[in-house]
Amino acid sequence: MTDIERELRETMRDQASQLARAPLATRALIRRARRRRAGTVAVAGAMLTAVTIGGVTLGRSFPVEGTIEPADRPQTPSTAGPARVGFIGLPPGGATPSSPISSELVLHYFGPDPAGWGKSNAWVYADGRLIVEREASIPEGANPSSTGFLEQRLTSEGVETMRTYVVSHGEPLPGEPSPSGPTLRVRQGGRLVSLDPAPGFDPERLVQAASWLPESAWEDKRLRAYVPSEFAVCYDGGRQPVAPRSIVESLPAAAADLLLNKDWVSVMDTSTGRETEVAEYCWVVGTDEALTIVGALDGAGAQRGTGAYVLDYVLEDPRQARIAFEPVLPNGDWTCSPCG
Amino acid sequence: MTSRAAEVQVDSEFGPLAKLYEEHAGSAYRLAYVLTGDANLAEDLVQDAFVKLIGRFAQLRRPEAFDAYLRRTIVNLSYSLLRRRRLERAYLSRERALATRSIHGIPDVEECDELWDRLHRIAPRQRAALVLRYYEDLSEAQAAEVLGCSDRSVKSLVARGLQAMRTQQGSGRR
Repeated sequence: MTDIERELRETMRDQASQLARAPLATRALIRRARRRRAGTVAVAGAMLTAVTIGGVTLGRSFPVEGTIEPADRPQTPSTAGPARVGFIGLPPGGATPSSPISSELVLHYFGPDPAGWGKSNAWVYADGRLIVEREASIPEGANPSSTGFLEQRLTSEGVETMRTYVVSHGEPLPGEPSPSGPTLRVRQGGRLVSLDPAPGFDPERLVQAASWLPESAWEDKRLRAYVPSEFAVCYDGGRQPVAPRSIVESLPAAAADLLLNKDWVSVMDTSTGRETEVAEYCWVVGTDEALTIVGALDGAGAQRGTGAYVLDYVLEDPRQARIAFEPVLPNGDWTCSPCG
Repeated sequence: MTSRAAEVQVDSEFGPLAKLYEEHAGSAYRLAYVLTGDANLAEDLVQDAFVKLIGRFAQLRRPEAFDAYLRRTIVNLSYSLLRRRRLERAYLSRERALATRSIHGIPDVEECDELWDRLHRIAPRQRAALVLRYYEDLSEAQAAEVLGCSDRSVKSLVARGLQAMRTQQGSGRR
């Protein structure tokens, strides 16, 4: 063992041994596990019914993190019960993009899923779209690990009811939300305000709005896939600075040719306040362009990720960087789909 | 299913879950802390990892290897959590049209020694490989299983991670 290896081992152990407090109360964990199990039992029952009636065998058990089968294509829907509409990755051929392309964000929730085992996102837009992405197993979802991005349509009354619920169940935060806590943002007075969820705030109201909103709140209550018009192609290479041009030039030619003409967006790691520590670059491309890049990566033999939460590739570069294809949302943002 | 897995499934009081948690939470927390350099994030990460794994306990191919699955889940979640944090901050920066300094999320690494600091500046997979090899004392084969890659890739990640740390040493702290 070299000096740096020995020092590193000692440093890591010293640091870990300085953790004085217990990680968290067992009771809190059990509460979460109970909540999760209750939701899963209900969902499992619904899935079993759909599978039996439709005569379709899903044929796979829940995968453990990191061993999930690729699931970037929609599965054949059963003839009874809710169809599996969600998908991961690029939309199936012929899918109609959600319209309009752009809309103003009214509220966003990211936090524990009320019924799943992980986290969930819910976005409400001024044009009535409610988009959810959940780490939960539901019949309409993309796979047992993720729903993919699903869309419903609210009336203007429904949008306002959701907004009012959030406003009445949160206190404005003076600063940023905790990086490890839930995110709750709502539009008030023309700007998005971050809120701290108040006691009694129920995320189910946002991610499963059909459970409580009246019929008059819905323009279309059916869950459909959110089909984006654009994707963010994001390179995540860790904290070592790397020039975007060199990233592009390292890609297969067809992908490189396409991205060289595009503007990039940097996602800076600002934890240290040093702008040089660029960790991630994203290029926004149309669906056809995303297909070209995927084809180029597949053609070059790039290794696909698990495909359970997002379509991504692990690159054989020194950083073992990843390239992920994230759906662009109506307000122009994108999320980190596997970051539950 | 092992008898232990069956217990977790049927025991409505979650007694076995509590036992598993008490058995593994401390080491999981320390591993998460070494990976993230942030005690609060580590706490959240461990909780998420337990809830995810407990939810899938009956479907684990080898329930007796709970600790191995837990380790893998923590490593994978650590990538996700750090990436999500970056996106969150980028979003807030855009929203507020402000520059970049975090208000309260400065991680513990800033107060720690230089080697610790350098560890948290290298690529996440390189860091994970170093942590698994030198903190967890896993063999290359065991680390490869956690990272989902070949033994050779682990060797390469470790070598490159150490090289990156040496390079940072050469260039000094920025």
